[in-house]
Amino acid sequence: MDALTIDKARRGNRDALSALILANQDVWYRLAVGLLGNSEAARDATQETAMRFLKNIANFNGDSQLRTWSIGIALNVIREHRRQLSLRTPEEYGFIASERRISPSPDHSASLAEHHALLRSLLTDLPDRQREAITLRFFEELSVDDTAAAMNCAPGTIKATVHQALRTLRSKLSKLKGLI
Amino acid sequence: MSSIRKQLAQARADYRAQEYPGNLAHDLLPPRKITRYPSIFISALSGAALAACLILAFQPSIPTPTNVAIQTPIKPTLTTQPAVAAQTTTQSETIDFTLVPESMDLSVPSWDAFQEQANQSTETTATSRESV
Repeated sequence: MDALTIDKARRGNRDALSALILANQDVWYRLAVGLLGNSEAARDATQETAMRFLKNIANFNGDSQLRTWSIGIALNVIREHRRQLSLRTPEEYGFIASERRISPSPDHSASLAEHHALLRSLLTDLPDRQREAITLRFFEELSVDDTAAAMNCAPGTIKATVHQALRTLRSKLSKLKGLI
Repeated sequence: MSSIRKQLAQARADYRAQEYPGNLAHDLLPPRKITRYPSIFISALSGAALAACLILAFQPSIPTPTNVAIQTPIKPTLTTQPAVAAQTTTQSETIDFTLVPESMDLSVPSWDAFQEQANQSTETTATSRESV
């Protein structure tokens, strides 16, 4: 998104704000789906992210890329929703958790799509911080510095978190037959 | 690149295929409206046009001046015949006043004629005094 559009959006230009929202709503949504594992909760989190984005765009000072800044807002919203989801009854949480799980197929000749689905399923079992780091680094393709800025931590922490996450995934995959 | 990294990179396309089912800009932004400054300008222009129409509608009509041609003065004529004067105006809408009888010569006499006329008047005055 060019600097002129961002500047207009900061001044409240409707067309500029609309362009920024449309350019980022898919990023917020797929991040929420990946981290919450629930499409309905992800939709609510995306709407909340957009509202906070509109509310705070005037305060964006440009010290980071707008996309990274907006992903930081989305992460905070997702974490709040995750806390709310964890407060639900075990039955509700179990139902939500089951949406995130995909039974790993022991079939060695599983299709690529099934393999990817398996991989995403394993991701949902990772701790929240590791899942966030892997999603931002590998799926959103943010740099180490941008990932650190979005997660509000140091770049070294991101490197260590990603390393731990990959080791966990490799270990889980190695346990499944013929999926390494 | 390790196997797991490759697999994650390959799964990226499936991840990015997910799209938000709707239009957040349409849902959250206020409806588009006419900006303030053009509306003020249009309102001012409309008010000025209305005021101009009202002024023209209630303005008293001012006769437009017309070019008055210089007309030659009408020479009045007076008729001295009493019979004519006694006639009532009902018979005629106009009264003809002829001040100078038509029989009177109005031409300017020459000097010699004037002097001769003056001598004749002097002799007439002397004759009348002698007779008295």
